[in-house]
Amino acid sequence: MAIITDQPESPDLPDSSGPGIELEVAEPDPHGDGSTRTGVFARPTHATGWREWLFTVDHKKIGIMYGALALFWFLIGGLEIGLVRLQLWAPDGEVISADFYNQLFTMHGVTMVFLVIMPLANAFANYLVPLQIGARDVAFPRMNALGLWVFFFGGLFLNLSWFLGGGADGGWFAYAPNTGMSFSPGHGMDFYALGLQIAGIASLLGAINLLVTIINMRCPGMSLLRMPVFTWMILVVQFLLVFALPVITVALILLTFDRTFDANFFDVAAGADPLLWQHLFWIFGHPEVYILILPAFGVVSETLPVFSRKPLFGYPIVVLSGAAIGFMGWGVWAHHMFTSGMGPVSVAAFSATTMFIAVPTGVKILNWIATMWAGKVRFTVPMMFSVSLVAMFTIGGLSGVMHAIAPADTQQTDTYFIVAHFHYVLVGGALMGMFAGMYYWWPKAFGYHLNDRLGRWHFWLMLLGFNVTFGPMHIVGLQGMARRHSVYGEFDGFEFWNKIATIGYFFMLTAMVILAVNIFRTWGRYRRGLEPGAGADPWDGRTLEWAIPSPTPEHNFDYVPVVSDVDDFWHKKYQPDETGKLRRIAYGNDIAQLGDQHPHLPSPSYWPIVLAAGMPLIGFGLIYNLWIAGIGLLLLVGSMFGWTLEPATDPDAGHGHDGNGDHHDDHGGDPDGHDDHNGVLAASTANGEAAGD
Amino acid sequence: MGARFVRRWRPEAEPTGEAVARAARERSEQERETMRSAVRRRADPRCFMAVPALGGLLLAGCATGRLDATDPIGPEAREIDGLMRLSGWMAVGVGIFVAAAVATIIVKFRAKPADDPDDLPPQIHGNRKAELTWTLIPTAMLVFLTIYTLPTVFELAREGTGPTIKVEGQQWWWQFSYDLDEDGHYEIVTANDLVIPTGKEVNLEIHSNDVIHSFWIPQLNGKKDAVPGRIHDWRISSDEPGIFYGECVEFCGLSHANMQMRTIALTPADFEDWRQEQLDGTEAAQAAPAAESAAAAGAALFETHCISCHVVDGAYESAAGGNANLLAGIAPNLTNLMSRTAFAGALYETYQTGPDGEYLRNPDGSLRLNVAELREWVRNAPDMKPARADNQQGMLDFSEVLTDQDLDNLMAYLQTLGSPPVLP
Amino acid sequence: MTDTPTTAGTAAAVEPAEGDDPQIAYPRTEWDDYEIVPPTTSLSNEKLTMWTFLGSDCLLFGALISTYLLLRNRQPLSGEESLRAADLFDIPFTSVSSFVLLMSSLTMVLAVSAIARGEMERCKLWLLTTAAQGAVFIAGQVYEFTSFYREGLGFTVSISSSAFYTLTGFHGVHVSLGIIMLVTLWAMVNRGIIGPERAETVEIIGLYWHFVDIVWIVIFAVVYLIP
Repeated sequence: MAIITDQPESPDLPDSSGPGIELEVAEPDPHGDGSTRTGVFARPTHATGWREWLFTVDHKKIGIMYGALALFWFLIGGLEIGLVRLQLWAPDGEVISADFYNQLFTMHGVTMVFLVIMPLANAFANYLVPLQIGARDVAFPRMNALGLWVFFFGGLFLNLSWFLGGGADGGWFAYAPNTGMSFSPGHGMDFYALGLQIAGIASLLGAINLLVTIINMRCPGMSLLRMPVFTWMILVVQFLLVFALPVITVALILLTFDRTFDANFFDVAAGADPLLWQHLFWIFGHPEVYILILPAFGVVSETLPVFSRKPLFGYPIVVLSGAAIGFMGWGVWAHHMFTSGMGPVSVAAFSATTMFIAVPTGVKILNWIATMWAGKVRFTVPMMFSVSLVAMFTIGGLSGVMHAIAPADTQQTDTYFIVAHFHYVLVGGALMGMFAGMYYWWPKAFGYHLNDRLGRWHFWLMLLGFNVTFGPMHIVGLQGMARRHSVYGEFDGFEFWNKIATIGYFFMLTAMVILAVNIFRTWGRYRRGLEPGAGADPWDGRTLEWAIPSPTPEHNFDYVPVVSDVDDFWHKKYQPDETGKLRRIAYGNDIAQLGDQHPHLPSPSYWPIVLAAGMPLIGFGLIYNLWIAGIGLLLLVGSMFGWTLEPATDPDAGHGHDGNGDHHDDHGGDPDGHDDHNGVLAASTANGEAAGD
Repeated sequence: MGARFVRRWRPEAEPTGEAVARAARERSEQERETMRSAVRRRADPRCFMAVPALGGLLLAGCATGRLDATDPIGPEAREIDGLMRLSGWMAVGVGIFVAAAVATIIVKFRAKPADDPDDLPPQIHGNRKAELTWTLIPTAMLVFLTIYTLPTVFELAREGTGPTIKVEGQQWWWQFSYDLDEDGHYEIVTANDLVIPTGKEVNLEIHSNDVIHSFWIPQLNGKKDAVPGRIHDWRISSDEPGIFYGECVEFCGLSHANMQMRTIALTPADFEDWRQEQLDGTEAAQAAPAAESAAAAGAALFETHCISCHVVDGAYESAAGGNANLLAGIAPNLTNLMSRTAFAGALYETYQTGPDGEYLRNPDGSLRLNVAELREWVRNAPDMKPARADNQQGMLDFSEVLTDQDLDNLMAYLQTLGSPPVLP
Repeated sequence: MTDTPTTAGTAAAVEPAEGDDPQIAYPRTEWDDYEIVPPTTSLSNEKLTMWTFLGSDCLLFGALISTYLLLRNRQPLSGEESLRAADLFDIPFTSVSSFVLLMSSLTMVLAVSAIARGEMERCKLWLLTTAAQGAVFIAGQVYEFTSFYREGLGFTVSISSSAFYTLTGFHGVHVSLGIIMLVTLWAMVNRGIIGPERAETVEIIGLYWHFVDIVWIVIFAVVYLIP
């Protein structure tokens, strides 16, 4: 960033409080000639204030809301585990009761997996995928909003259990039959089953939408092997979601039916086999692990080349290994069940498949290292987070290989060794990647940088706290400390390392406080004009999102870009000279689009949030009284009709297309790309659209 | 809960004369603090040096606890330990390689302030040979590990040559049943203490009577889940006599942390003694205690309050007792209670221990019953171990039911059940 | 994914340009009026969405069918025999209703081809016929469930009954949703909201309908016919 600040910025940005307001001026009056349209209610206009957010269908606002919600739940999940760490400070801890402890670690796991890391990835995917593939929005903007609001209500519903008799207490993978009515008579597990069901619907909506967007809405020339790696990883993740979610859906349905309607699916006395739940859960659960980690892999595959100023080493291999991880991820689920009582043949088979999923992962890590090798690495805050991902995830991956050895796993599983393993993967991997993404794309989303100094404090405290917390867990795990034990004895020898881990927790907590301070302080300073705005291309980026102003205008692209290479935007800035060495020919801020066009965009809609509100009602109904479920169902169905019959407020619907049938379904594009970079501006097909205003 | 009591002791601590002397005194808060710092001191020096991130991979350096999987005693655990060490050192090697590469990048390939920002480093898009190399090398390492692992998987699944013991997990304690003459009738039914002969491969038939538990004696073998409706075969063996600790490691509800057990490995001669004592105790339990004694009064109280859950006649029925819901509405068979070293899911010692964990003895050499905790347990069990007695999960609270006199009588009765344990 | 030959794909981009018809109040998709770049693949967004959803639904039924197969012959631990769903199957009856559902796929194809040729009346007729056949199937299922219930096979009676009702019930819900969609389609064609230019909508609903049929063939085979 220091390198770029002396370049011109887009002139109109620093002092505006947001692009939405500016654009609104240019919007056509939606009611001007809406009279011919029918519909239950008119669509909301591009409103300001809270309406702007509640009824929006803009993928960027939705992405930001996903991120904000995820950070909120991150705070909750983090505080939950803080109590757990205090309880484990000393032997025979008496800080909290065993019951509350069980609820805390269960809800911590559920929250962090389903309400933090998944939506954080979703935030980036929503915000960036359309930008990286040169699209105006996702394929189905209202469905996108629906996904957000269903997720919102799902998370809310899940956590309301705290106020309605206590959270779920079965562990995040909720092994039957401990989750049945006999053994968990409170409502916590009901909230778990239904809350995850609702969150799952949200993920499925988002997944199908993004999948269609990536497959179908790439700009001309953006063949699959020219897509940014982040978009690639998101694509793989959406495939995983689409095929994994139905399996957990079925598992949760069976659990709900057992608990609510007295079915017998997990009733051992009736002849059930508890391993059914484990298989269903982990057939979902293992792909879920890759759902959590691959977006972070995508993020660092973007940041490492940018800050090393080198192309990604072996782009096709990185993409291929990402896809291979996604594919192989389906064949390893039973490694979570090495001690569950499978026969030795199954154990041996899953042990072997699990070993070999380490190959594509290792290839990725080595390719990242090769990307940085011999580069000129700028250690900005996002880069520091990215590099720490490479180092920390490696540790988690290596202990993962140790678990793949089934006999060793029988000693390690369900101890703190496994807790250390998956926190190195999920915090050292996924979360570090997400933080890298936050600092990296913050200027694109909000038009200014997060404070660098505070960012460095955040990073170092995070890295330190993370290692101090989870490093010792390797040791106590091998010393035999079992996970999910609310107390340990004073003769077990666990006390020292548990104290260290608890101290580490407070380092991490401090890091998060610094992040919060950074976000709010920098935002306040920016609003008061004390913080300089960021240019379109503050990091000398490589992908299309840097070819538009910061913050992103509501319509994303003035002109749909045409690309002819991987990292097309980079090649518009650097060209080989006569000796073949790349020389800068332009600055990103200069050649970026201006963001001054005002094409029509889909109108906001009331229905996504209203429809989503029906789902928690159905959930409450299944727990307390079916009449409430009836009300929820009515709301759901009513909103569906409202949705379908909603008018398009755009007065020019059906007009304004210039009929340019120019067709780009080939993936070839220009075969030799490098010379054709001015195409991006020339290839506008949107003039007619603009004239329609 | 229960923090007023010292609950555990460390097996490797040799009882010394000084410790015995100290044990005569009351265990003061101050002494317990000393204990704690001693544990801490033991753990510190070697482990402090571990780089936190890689520390866990330094397997050997930190063995302190009594659940330590890296301190194997039996051949099964040793085999696993070998695999863990091999894979651990390989992981450390690869980890150091990656860390060194990252460190090199941080030091050597950092952009210098003097650099021309527009001057690019060499633009390398990839290198087939390099990529092929770092695909094949990890593959080769993993093939090696797989080939090394798979025979162990099958070896550990083999049936042992020794006796078979039935293991039943339930919320939140373990029951062990012995059918020594293999006639289908279990002669010995005990809880918390799994007594095995040394040098024999003991087969375990692992059952569960309610939810999923997991049986784990780290020093003897890995874990095996106890799954209701299924029988899982497992094997343990110990080369030397000793007490080896274990616990339930699959989350099994409220008191999951308090579901412990211990394996007492005895020499074949000692094991034979123990077996005989158990059989004698069973016979004795069927005889009525002398009339008009405190024990007789206790027996009457036992008939009134305890017998609906606890069996004392030594006869074995499945602990589930035909309970169709497989709820944990059943409790340990108390026939040979005095012969067990622990009660309440092995949470509390049956006999008093000193600050270093050694058993305290009367001048005549006999063990001292831990009456205080046993009495408190009978009076108000949920206070000493989290339970949901109202949902048939755990022992009921009798504090409103039993008077002090009742408790004294019950203690007297319980002391008639079985003879003191055979210790290794 | 196989693509049935229709006007899909390119139509998305080209048609609205000609479609100056003020009658069409409902945009075919939210992006119709704005989209300037044709889909990258030859599938329209809507059709691709349906294919993706059906792929996802395959896993849903896969998990449900596996669950049933695992549980169908399981008996209580106590040793007493509980009633299994398979004890009550009336194969001839279910075969007839399955045949009706199977035939509805044929009429669905006819509806799609009718609207592709612009024969709206015929399309309406076939849509209604399809929906009616679906309704016959659902009526058959309701009859089957009630008669099973009367014979003592309540939802909670045995593990096999829970699995049976859950599996076939979920399929029934799918068919019912399909019927609602078909009737809605019919109404929209009737009101002229859907004309020949939106034949793809009918085709997409058709995809769903065929999927539901195929799933039933699998269920009928593995649940009813394989003992």
